[in-house]
Amino acid sequence: MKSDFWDTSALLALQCGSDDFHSAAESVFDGDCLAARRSRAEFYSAATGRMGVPPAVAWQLLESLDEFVEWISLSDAEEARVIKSAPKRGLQGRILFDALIAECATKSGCKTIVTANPTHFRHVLPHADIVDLTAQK
Amino acid sequence: MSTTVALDNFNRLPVSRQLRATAGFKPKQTLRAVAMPGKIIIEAMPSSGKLVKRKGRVVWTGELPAGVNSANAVNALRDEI
Repeated sequence: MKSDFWDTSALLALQCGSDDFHSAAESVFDGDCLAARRSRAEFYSAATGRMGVPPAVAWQLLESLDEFVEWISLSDAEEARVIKSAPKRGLQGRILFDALIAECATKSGCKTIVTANPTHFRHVLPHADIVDLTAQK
Repeated sequence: MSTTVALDNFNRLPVSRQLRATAGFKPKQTLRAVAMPGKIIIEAMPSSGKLVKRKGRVVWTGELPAGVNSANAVNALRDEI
């Protein structure tokens, strides 16, 4: 059963062998998982941006993930609901993107989030089990 | 380290020895410059890695730039949006 939900940072750690959190990601990955569809674009963008992965390689890494990841999307209405709730939840700045990813986890029924950015998820999804890759480094 | 630099009379951007040393840049090292509105990021080029199969997945073995990891790369990306 696919039960773990991986955020963008965790997927990058899993696919980049020299990443600080690669070993932790490898040890947690059990063969398949769920992730937000928006993480596909973030994966490519972060990989080819700050991480310096060649574009053709980044695409191959992403394509490889397609075999193991079930990508979860939000409808326009679901996305609008998250953004509308942001002021009341005290969400501002980049944490909104984690709130959108967290909503995908909630939508898919996942209770476990795997991430290398745990702080935001503890805020946007306080009742989730957070697998903190940085703590397992 | 953060400091102020100014373009010279020929619009060149001087990078002090201290900045280069802090970044870990070596003489004649190839760097990558990424320009976007309001900023230019100059960083070391990652080593050329290769793609290997691990547990059925394709994994890239290339080195990442100094100080960069999956967590701060995602945060930086979102800060640029």
